[in-house]
Amino acid sequence: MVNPVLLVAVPLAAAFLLPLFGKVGRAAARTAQVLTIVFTAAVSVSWIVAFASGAAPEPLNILTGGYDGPIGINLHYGLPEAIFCLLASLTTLAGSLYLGAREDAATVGRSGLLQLLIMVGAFGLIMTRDLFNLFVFLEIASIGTYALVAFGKEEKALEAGFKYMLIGAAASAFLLIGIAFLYKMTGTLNIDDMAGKMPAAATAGLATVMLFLLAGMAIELKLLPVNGPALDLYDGAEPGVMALLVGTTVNGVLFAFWKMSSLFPGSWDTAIMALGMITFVGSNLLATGQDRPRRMLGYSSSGQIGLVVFLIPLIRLDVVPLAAAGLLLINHTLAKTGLLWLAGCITGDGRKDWLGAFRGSVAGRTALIVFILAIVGLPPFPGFWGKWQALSGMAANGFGWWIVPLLIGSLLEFVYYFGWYRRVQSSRPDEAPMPGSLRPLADLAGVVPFALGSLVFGLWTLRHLAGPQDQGWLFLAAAGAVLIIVRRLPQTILSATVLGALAVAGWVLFTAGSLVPSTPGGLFLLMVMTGAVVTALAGLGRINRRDSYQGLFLILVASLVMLTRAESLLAFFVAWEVMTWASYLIIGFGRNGARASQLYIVFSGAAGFLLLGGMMLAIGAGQTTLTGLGFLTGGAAVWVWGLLVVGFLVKAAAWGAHVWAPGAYSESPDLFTPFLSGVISKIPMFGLAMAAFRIGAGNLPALGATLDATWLLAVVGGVTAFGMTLVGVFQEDAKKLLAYSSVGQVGYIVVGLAVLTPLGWTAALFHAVHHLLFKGLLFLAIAGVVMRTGTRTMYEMGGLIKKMPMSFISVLIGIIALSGVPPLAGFTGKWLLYQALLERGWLFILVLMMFASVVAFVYLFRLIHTVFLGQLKTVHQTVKEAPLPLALAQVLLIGAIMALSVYPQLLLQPLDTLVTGQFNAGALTFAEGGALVAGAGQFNPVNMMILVIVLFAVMVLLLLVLGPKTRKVGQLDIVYQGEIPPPPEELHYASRFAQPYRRAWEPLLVPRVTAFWASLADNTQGVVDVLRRVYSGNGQTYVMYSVLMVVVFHLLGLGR
Amino acid sequence: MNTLTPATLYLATAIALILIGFAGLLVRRNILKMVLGFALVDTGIHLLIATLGSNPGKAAPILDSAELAADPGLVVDPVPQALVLTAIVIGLGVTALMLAYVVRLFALKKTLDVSEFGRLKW
Repeated sequence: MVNPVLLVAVPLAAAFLLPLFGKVGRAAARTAQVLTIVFTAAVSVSWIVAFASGAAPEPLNILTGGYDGPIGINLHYGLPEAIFCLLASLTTLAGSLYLGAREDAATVGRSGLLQLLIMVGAFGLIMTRDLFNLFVFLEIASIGTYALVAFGKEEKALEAGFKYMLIGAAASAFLLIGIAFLYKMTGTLNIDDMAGKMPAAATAGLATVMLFLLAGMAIELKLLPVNGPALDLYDGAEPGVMALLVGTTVNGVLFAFWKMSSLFPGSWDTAIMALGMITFVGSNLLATGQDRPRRMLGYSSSGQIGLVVFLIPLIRLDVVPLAAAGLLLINHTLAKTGLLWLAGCITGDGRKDWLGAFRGSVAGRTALIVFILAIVGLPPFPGFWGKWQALSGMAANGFGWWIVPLLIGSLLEFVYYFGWYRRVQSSRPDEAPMPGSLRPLADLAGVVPFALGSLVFGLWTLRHLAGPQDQGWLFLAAAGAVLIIVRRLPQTILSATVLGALAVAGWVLFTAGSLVPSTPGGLFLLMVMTGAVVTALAGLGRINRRDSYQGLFLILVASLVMLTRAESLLAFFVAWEVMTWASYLIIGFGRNGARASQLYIVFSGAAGFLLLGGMMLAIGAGQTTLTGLGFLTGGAAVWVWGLLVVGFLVKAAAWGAHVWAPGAYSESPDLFTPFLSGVISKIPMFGLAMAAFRIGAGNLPALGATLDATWLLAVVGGVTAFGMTLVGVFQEDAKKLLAYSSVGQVGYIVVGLAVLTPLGWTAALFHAVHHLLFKGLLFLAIAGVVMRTGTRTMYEMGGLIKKMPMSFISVLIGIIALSGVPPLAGFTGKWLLYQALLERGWLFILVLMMFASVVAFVYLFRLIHTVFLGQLKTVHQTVKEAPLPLALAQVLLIGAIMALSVYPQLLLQPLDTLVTGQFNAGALTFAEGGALVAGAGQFNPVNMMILVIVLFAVMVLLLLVLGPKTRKVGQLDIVYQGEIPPPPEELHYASRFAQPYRRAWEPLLVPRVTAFWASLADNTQGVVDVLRRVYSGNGQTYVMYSVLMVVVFHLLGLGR
Repeated sequence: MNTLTPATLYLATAIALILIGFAGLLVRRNILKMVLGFALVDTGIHLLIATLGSNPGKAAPILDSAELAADPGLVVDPVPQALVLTAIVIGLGVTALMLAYVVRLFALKKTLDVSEFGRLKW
């Protein structure tokens, strides 16, 4: 094995020889540089293998020159050191290729020298245990950085570099003063030695010394508020240089701080944690106001470093494992370097420069989204595992309150990173060539391996941390990943592959006995698979577009399969978050999906963090599984219940958090909306049933009796159902109308679950399945209409019954099923729900639900009346029926609805078993001859269907025989008397059809909730814009902050 | 305690230099003078380290006589001196680089006023 001292010696020697190689030629210098870096990487790899395999059981402790400290310098090289040295080597390797392609002839060789110096500085920071030596390596890295930045030709690079130097000088001064006094106090420079010799008494003198050390490190770590120059550097310097720093110096300094933290007495812990947390939340908050992405990345870096600084005292206290910080850092390195490299490929850095970025580059766009998902800490990327470990450690050891700011800061990361991606998704106003192209070796050398590395490392961690999981979802996810890679193949092949993969997975799940509707998991799995097959079948009708829709769809289904089968809170949450990002990306494929999908991910992110908070409380109380939630008691039970319920409600778009839903449903790709509305909106309901209602000693009826919160929940469900219906009436856009309707229908399910009786649950679950069928049918039919007519506005259509009879039948059946009138299954669902509400005595909610049902007619009717009846528009003369795959999918759904209508026992019997399993009591009696008996009444679906058909036929006949003769009239033959007529479409009788009702409902229709969220966003923005002015841009002010920091910390009496 | 020992004098001078240097960094708008301020801080710190390692009455840590080599207790601690030497070298490097920046910034903007270099902000 090679002695790790050579990690420092060889590149240092090579660095100063590089200019000599440069005399030979550019290629020679380049080769020497690359070989040196590869050598260092190889050394670290060999040691990682040795440490991991046990061939080298002990970390190396090297005494340079054979002397003991303080004369000799002590290097320490164990697994963590090896991993971060390797990371530094790899970043420098990719970074030097990247920078090499951008440097001009004048700087050849010299730039390489500085890159090697920075790398050596990082190695030293990571390995050395000598405090002064640590300072020397810090200066080596800093001088390399200052000089490398100065290669920038632009004024802003010089300006940033100079400011960075000024504050760096202040940092050096503070550090040197601290180190000198520490040596005086302890007589050693070896950190480990020193830690044992620190004065036991916390004197004012000691506190001051430690203060200088902390202040110096705070500047080097770029913590708030002394990170101004670092932000300017991100703003002004070449992004490739910043990428190099992220992988080397930034990690090195954190590593150094981790070593130094053993010197700080325990009285400093809270101060250090607070400093880290303030930096994490503050930087992420300020980043939301930043519209220059490079500077935003700087804020983000400060935030991520702050998080690790926050964790350091907790690691010392054994609250959080060291691996958590390691995972966060590895994640940050891979993602941030990648983002910076990509940023360097975009000329300019303004708001407009990023519109439509990397549209032409598959690798660039894919890598960009991978890096963004990784850096905000979504699974399966390594940062998620770091956060989860940190959070669960904190929760289990009484640091629970710190979780709140941590989650808020994480949500803020969602806000600005996905806000940035929204810009990338938008198209450019001018038809200029799309910005962003990657050169194969120079740019892709880092981007692609780092993106892959992030993914692979994350999946590896998944396997290690989440334990052996059921493999059904793994197959689907892998198939999805393959489809993303081969997305350039024809759509038909991709769609067929999706169907094939679903068939295989479905068969495996079926033979394993998992697809049974008599358990909650099985029921929702059945819904997932049904929805997926129907959506995939319709997907065959997709017009040839080359994107990763199909692959992402499979990944989404995989996450749902995993979710319905989850046992542990961790598995549930991982699946939940994968579901969130996969559906987010698919919504973004819609024509105007950028804004809608951003709103979707921010609200979903908030929902996710509420769930995470609840789960962490549960973990703090010792429960790590879904069934374990049942054993929670007391205050913990109430808090966990509250957090989980609110989280699920936000994701279900309940009233108050519904603002994301109409946009997400209507702007998502037309063929995907059925799945979004039919399946994904039910997943929070699964969560309510499986997680939230478990709480309370596993005894659901008892919970219902003790917690009036269920009534409150039912009110929220009722208001959602009622409110959405009301707003839905005024929609002119067919998809938006159905969107409001979908949200409202989920409200019915919430009410049913909240009733917490066997009958209520039967009603809710029956409605959930049924809603999947009819709303899927409606969205599919409308998708076909939109595909053929090219519009979603209803009054621009009309008379399509002649051209699209199949779609007409689908919509007709869909709305009859939805409205809950006999003879279709909607009636069964409503009947069960009303019975349950009566039984429970919640009459107010019953009235609300009934009223909502009646109002629903007003909008449902329009789907038929405006779209299919009346006269055909001239432009639609050549319209054809929806493509065959869509029609087939609709036929399947109609079949299922009919089956449920005639024979609801098909579903109700397994549901009864399910409910009996949960409540130890069933709700229904299945009488002979097919009659259903529940609560106060009974009915026979078959008889009812015959009765309705007979009545209908009689009435039609009567109308035909007795009614007046029909006469055809034109739609637009209206005579004007000197007026300028508005566009003819607005004269159409269906335009603003529901206007008369508006006056009646005016007070209810004021968009208060939307206004609330908008003003929240505006006010936050205003505050952020004021706060950001702290970074005045003046180097002198920045130095003053660093001095003030020392003074303020001193006045606060830190460490005493 | 009332007598002014050389060590106290050195310490006082060191602290004074550091404070004067920081005052220069914070008050002077001319970046050349700010660099001078930094140089003063640096010098003050070097004096501080040397003072902390000094031990009046003992010999310099140069073992050039058999007497000193035999009894390490007769010489002062060599470590701070080694540290000061290293710190001086680093300080020199940083100062030189700072001056190089000043030259290039002046060439670009024809001014040395620090507030003129604040285009990057917020």
